[in-house]
Amino acid sequence: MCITLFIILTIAFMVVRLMPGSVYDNPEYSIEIIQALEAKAQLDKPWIIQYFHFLKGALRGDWGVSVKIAPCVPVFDVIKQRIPITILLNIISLVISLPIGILAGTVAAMNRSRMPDHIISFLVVNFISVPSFVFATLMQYFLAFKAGWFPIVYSATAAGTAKYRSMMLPMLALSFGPIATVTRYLRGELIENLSSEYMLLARTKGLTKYQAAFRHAFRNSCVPLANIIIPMFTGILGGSLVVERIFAIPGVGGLMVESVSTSDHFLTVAVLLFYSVISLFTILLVDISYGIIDPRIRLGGNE
Amino acid sequence: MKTGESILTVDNLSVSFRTYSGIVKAVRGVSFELNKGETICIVGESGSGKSVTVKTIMGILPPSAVIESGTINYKGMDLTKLTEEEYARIRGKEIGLIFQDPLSSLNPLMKIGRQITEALLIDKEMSKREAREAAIELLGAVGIRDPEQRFEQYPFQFSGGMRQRVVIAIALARNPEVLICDEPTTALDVTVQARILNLINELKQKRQLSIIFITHDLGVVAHMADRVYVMYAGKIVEYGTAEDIFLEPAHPYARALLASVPDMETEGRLASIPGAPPNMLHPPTGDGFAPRNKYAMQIDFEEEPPMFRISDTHYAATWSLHPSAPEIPMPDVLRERIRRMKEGGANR
Repeated sequence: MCITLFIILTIAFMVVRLMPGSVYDNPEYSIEIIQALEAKAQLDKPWIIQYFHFLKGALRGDWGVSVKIAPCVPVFDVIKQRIPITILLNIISLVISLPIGILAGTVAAMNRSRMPDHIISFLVVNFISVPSFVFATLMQYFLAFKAGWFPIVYSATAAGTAKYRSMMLPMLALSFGPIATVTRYLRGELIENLSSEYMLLARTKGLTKYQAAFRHAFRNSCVPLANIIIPMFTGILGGSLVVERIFAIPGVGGLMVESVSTSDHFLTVAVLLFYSVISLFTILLVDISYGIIDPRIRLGGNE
Repeated sequence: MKTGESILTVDNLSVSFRTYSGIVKAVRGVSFELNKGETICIVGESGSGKSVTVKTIMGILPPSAVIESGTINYKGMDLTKLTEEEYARIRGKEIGLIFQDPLSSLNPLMKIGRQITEALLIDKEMSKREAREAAIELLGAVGIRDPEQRFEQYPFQFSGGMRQRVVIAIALARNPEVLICDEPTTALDVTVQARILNLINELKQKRQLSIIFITHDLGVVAHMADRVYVMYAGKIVEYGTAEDIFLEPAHPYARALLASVPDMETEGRLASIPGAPPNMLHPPTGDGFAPRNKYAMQIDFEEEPPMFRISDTHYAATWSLHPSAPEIPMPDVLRERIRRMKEGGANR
């Protein structure tokens, strides 16, 4: 994991450093000032020296400071400021999507090849294939601009219900994908489990169809489901890159886009690192969860 | 043989499957009778409709299956007319079922103990603690050692034979009167097979079970059956006591089936049945076995034979029993073997 992180960090550093232009590009600065600033940050040296300089600082916990977005603030403090809103948004959207997805998936599987299944499957295909930013813009136009039910953009300054109302649309936009994924996955798993031999055995015990479906098929379908829900956290973080921008939410996703477009290099590297750590952590979590959830893996080592 | 009181009667049962390629007539007018305390074996090759018949009795046919006609009479109830809720009360409580493949019939992610107590708790007569006790006792009864410890384990920690014992324990948990065994030993090693068969026989004695045993293995039939029904192409072609079928098989299919079983005296090539079973998308007219029978007469292809009575217990549906039919010789292997069996007498 550390090695992966190191490689990611190196690549991130290279990519950012190879971009043209200087961190300190600013029409108000004279060339002398820029050169002086670059010399101070050792940016006048060859990139390899810069790289080692950067690593040395990173090891000491000094990741550099932001230049444009929040001048002279250490990069991780900038990120820290942005995290709460992103996390809040994502968690809420996940909390919305899971029950809806599970319900829809179950309904579809139990009514396989009948009307409810066809309707749900049709919606799922749409939700999966249309990217979240399309929904975001459509909703922004119709629900916020035309109908005026919601504010067009997120307002950080508003308090109470007004703030939550401004969060509704981005939350919805972020939820469609996960809902569709959970639905499709659960439907598939359930259909497979419902037609398995042990379901027949469960029914020959005398359990009714629904008892058997819930206690055996549903329970067993949830095991693999856990392993797609965990990565979804990262999925939503990625999705919020664009959606945050559309609704002008001051979150981590927006920060990433801004830092790249303003060539705030240190900040870009730090945000990339932030995403990588989350992804790697998720993968680790999935691997561990396999062992916790599935007894066959948990107990396998003892034999 | 015992002519006990009948507990389950299947009358003229026909079951079809709706598939994309057409209607598959899996079971075509099957009738049989299970008396209290006896074991009947239904013998036939894959696709002869054996499993479909028992699935119909259990009411666990897939949605694509349709019961075309017939009745299944259990204690005065017609099972084909039951609603799903009524059926849930029959399953497990009145009729238990043991499946073919113990490897896939247990829920892989649920502890063995819970899979048994789950059945025990359906009747709501037991506390969880009592159910646990009862389940451990059941595990002991089906011959699982250290049942206390095994109770907490998962199916993957059990061998195939042990799993089949667990499946038997589940099937018997609610004390059914009828036990249906759908090829319970097919997936097991031969040595384990014998132990499971003995277990089933032993449990039958202890619990006064009536057993319907589905198999294609005539060795198993000899071990288990009071009476035998031979099934071919969705029909019963011959039935009688085990002695009737083994010593005086009348239907050409029953003869061919018996002749293809090797024994200690078998030398050279094993007899086999030529051809393949009929495609049930287009069920054959006449005697379904005629195309594979070298002695088939014209009428075998044209008209379906009725059940001819051979003795009070022994019936067969073949035109060769018609008074005006020519005598058809018994296959040599079979004649020789039957002679030995008769000489051996009680050895069987």
